[in-house]
Amino acid sequence: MTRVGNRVDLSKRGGDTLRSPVPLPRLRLQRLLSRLLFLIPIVFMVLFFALPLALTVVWSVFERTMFWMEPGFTLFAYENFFFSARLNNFLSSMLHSSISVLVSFVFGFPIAVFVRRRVPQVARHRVILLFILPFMVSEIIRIFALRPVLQRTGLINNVLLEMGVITEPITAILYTPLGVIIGEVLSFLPFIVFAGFLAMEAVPKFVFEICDDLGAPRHRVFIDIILPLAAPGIFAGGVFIFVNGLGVALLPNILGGPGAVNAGLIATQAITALDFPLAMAISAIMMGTLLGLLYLGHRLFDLTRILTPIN
Amino acid sequence: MSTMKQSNEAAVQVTGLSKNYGSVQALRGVNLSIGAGEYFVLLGPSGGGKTTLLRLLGGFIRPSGGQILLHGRDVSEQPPNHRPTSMVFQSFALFPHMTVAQNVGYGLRLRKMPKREISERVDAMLEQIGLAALAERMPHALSGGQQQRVQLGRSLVLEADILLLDEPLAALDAKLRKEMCLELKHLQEQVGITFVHVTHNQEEAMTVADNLAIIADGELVETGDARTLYENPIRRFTADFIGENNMFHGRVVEVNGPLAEVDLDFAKLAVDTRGQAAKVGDRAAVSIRSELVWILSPGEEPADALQTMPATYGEAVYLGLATSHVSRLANGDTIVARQISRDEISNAFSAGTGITLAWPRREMRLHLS
Repeated sequence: MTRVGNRVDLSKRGGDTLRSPVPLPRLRLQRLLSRLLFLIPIVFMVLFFALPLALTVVWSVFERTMFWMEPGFTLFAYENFFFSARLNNFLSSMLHSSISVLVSFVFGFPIAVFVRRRVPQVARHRVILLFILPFMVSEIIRIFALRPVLQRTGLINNVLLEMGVITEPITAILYTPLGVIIGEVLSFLPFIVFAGFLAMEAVPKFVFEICDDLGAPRHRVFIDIILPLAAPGIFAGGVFIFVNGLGVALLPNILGGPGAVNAGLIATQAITALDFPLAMAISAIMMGTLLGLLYLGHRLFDLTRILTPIN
Repeated sequence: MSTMKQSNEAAVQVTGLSKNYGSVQALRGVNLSIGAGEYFVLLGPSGGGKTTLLRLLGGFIRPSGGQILLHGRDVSEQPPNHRPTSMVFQSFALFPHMTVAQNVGYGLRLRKMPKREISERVDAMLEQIGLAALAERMPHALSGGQQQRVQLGRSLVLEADILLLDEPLAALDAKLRKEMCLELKHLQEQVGITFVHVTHNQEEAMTVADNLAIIADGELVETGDARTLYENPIRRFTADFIGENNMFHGRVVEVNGPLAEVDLDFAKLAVDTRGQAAKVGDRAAVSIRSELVWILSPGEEPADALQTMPATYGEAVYLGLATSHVSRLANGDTIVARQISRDEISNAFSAGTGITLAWPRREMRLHLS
């Protein structure tokens, strides 16, 4: 009988709404506000992200003046980039970034697989949270703290000297590409853990049970199942590390040296030298590299699959 | 594939099998024997331990106690791939990045079988499960039923002696489930190997099973074929779980040869003990299938073979084929009379009317446990 009672209540409530509806102008205003809620960020991103990036390309062919630049068309900035030591620096920073990606993958992806397969569901996100904690420390402090560890009279050298493993301090680990790579792995490892974890979340648990049932050895499970299924996530994490390795000037600035300069640092130096078209050209080249990578990745793995676990 | 339908050899022989998760006993001392070539169903409510039992058979979890013999060989400590079993999971359990053919062939690839032989066997299997035309499709482009067939193919192609099916049809809608049930049954008859199938769906279980085991609260309640468990259950739980039974609770007050008299406080029923050792004072339940109960027409004299009981009419619930007439007994318990729907009965009584219910005496069943 309660059901009937409820129904009566409901119809009564419906009647009330009919008698005193929300005033029409207020309803319109609400609709407008909710639309603005989405519109404002879009406008913001177009105005301050998409537009300046597009203009970078335009500005990169402008004529350089003493303190700024003026409209014109010249490829001088690109010439300046491609026919100088800058190209070599750019290419070697690509190599170093690739090494960082590889090292981060080797260190980070097993963590993601481990967390997915062995850590109980309730603890999983807490474990992943541990990898966010380093980000609470300002990057410049984190990176700078490496210096006393890596430098000539630093922690590593002192310990090794004391132990008698070496007789001369090792100078190859700071102000060199190696130092930059250590810094990059330190800074960007969490991204491959996150991306890998997200990718592994998308791999259904039953997949591993089928493998157990079929008696698949571990390396086959990894090569045949985990890698292809996690590929989009790994790729996204890899691109992130690679692009940051090229672009973040802070790392080579603090840890690098003559042979360890990346695109970000070249651009910074160009800005310091008031050569704005050159800085713009370097930005445009980096953007082109990123877009090329993303296109390649999307063709290979369909990057929309990264978000599968959210569905 | 060999045909060894219903031979005497036991494909599965389980003794005293237990599984604990911490302090939770998922399975307690289960003894079970499944004949080779049988279609066997483990039926029970969710969380009752039937999936635990299946996974123990497959080797996905280790027993806390007891022994598992498969075709006479003790496999209790063996990993899944060292057992003569193969597991079929719920329908979406396929490798999402492999085609149908690759899914079916992956197990053979792991066995390092030559490529030619793999593709021959896969083709033959796809033919058998009716998916030859879809060999190059990806799993997400298949319907639920097709996905389930790929799973079956993936397991059958390995030529295991025992196929374990874990709620294989649970993800399918009702109509498809019915079709797949018959398909499974026919497939099992064709290949002749032992199928052990877990489900909580009674109709599914009865459609496919040669024999069933009812599993609840970590215990094996009762085994038998579908007809026996439906018409002649021994345990109270079985009568409650299978079909739709009316249940009366009382005490044995007299045992007279094969008949036990059970006192329900408001009535006394004389019920066949069916070989159970009934003693005076035992708590007992008496069940009667609801479709065997009907409402006597006013003034109708019941035959001797009928048990009658007064009740107060409650309501009619129309279910299509049948209508359930729900009434109340003198002690307030509900009793259901389920009859093929016909207008003249459905509309004959109004709530609160005193009626007399009747059912054949010999159909009543005594449950002591």
